[in-house]
Amino acid sequence: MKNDEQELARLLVQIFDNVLLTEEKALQKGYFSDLSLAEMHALEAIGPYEARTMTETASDLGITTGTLTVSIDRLVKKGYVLRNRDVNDRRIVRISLTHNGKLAYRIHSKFHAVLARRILEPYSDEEREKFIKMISEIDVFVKSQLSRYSDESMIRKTAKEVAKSDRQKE
Amino acid sequence: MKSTREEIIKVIASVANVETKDLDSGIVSIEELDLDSLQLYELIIDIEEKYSIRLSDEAIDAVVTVDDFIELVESFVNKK
Repeated sequence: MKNDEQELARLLVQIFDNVLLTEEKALQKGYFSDLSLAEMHALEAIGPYEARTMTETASDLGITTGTLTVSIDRLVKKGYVLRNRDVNDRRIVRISLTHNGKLAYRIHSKFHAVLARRILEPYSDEEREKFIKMISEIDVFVKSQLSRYSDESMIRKTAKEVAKSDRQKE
Repeated sequence: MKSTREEIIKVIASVANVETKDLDSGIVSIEELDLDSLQLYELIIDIEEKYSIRLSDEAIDAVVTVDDFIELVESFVNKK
C-alpha cells in the first residue's frame, strides 16, 4: 500500500512538472515564442470573447490584481491584450484579447485538446469514462485541499490533522 | 449587396491567398487550401469578429469542405 502511495505521489508531481515543461517548450518553438507560460495562462484567463475585469481575471489565476497588472502591462506592449475603461463606470478597467491574443489563445487551447486526445486515444469508451471520473475526483479533492489553505488558521488546523493522522497510523 | 456566402468566400480567399473564383468552382476541400494552423485560426477569428459569432474547435473539426465551412458559419449567422 505504501508503495502505491509513493508511486502516485511521484507520478502526480512528474505529470504536473512535465505538462508545464511541454507547454513551455511548445510555446518556445511555436508562433508565439515571445510569450511566457504565465503570460499565456493570463491570456487563457481573459478568454477570447467578452472583456473581463482585472479583479475577475486575477481571481481566476489565483494571483493579486497587482501581479496581474504587471503581466497585463507587458501583454499590452507585446500587442496581445487591450485595456479599456468601462464605458459606464470609469473606475473599472476591462481587458480583452487583440486579434493576435485570440490567435495565441486558440492555438494554445488546441495544444491542450490534442494532448488530451492523445492521452485518451488508447482507451475504450468505458475506460475513458472511468478515467475521467477518477481524474475529476482527484480534481475535487485537490481543490478542497487548496481551499483549506486559503486561510491561515486552516493551514495550522490542516497541518495538525495530518500530523495526528500520521501518529495514529504509526 | 453581397450575400453571406460571398462575404465568407472573400475572407477565406484572403486568408488562404487564393482567388475567390477558385473557391466558387475548383477548390472543394479545406485541406486543398493548404492552411497551416495559424492561418486556419486566422480564418476562424476573422469570421468570428465579422459576424460576432463563436466557432468551437469541435465544430471546426467536423468541417471537411469549403461548403461545410460556409454552411456552418451561415447557420450561426442565421440564428442571430
